[in-house]
Amino acid sequence: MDFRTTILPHRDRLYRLALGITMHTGEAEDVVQETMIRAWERRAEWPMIKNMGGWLALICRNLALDSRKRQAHTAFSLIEAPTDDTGRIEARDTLAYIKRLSAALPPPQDEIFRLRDIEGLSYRDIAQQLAISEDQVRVYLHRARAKIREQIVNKT
Amino acid sequence: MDYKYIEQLIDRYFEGETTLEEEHILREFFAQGTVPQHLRQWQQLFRSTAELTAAHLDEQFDRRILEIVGETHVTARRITLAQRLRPLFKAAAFVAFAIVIGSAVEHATRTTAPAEPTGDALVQDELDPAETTPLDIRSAEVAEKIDSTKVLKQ
Repeated sequence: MDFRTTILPHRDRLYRLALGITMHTGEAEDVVQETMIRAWERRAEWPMIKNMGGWLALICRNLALDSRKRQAHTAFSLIEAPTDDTGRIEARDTLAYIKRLSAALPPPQDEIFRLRDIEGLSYRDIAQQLAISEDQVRVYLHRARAKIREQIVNKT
Repeated sequence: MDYKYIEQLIDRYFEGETTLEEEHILREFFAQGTVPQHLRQWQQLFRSTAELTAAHLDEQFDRRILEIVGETHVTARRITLAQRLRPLFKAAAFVAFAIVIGSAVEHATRTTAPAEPTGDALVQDELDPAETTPLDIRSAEVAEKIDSTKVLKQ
């Protein structure tokens, strides 16, 4: 079991997870890097881990939540610093837009919206991750999207 | 163009009834350039979620993290038979070169050594010294006789 084949293939999924929570590309990248370093430091545990993706996601989620808290405490802007890079500006606008929509959602609707529409997880995976039933996931997602629809309609 | 299917998918999306595949179809539809006026209000939502679901880290991240954990980047490379046998060819070439140089040195030392000027001497190298001494003596005796006959004739 080496780092390249065991940990590295999870990078993009972890990145989307971190991005959904931090809403900041740079912070999300740092979170993924820190997640992978921690996983590497605990490599002695790898043979005992049945679900590597789930284990990494748990570490990543906790680090991303910590990062979001730090951002809130330091009044650090969730909207990324201006840059000349066009791709970065587009990402910044996208993140700002999604952040604005999800900010109006109460928990766990915001998290379920993020898991479904940013991470692209199935109802089953979301239910497992949040330890709720698939029916509950459908109900929360329905409410979350109804609120998002309302925001969009009211804006236009 | 009939957008009924897309409109139905949008309704089902907001009801939370779409599958992942159907949500992918919606994102693909709104990613295209021409979206009818009455559907444009949803465009930013689906384009934004499309961007985020496709978000990924690049090779630079891989290099950095592999450097941090100490695993160097190794890429698989196709090796031809000639490349695989190259060390063998090199070894064979070295051996051949060593033989040529060795022969040349041996030849040079034989031609320049004063004790081995003639073919007779080379033959004598391989003989027992005990057998060569009488031959030398005989040769000296023969030479002496030739010299004395020359003197007598004169």
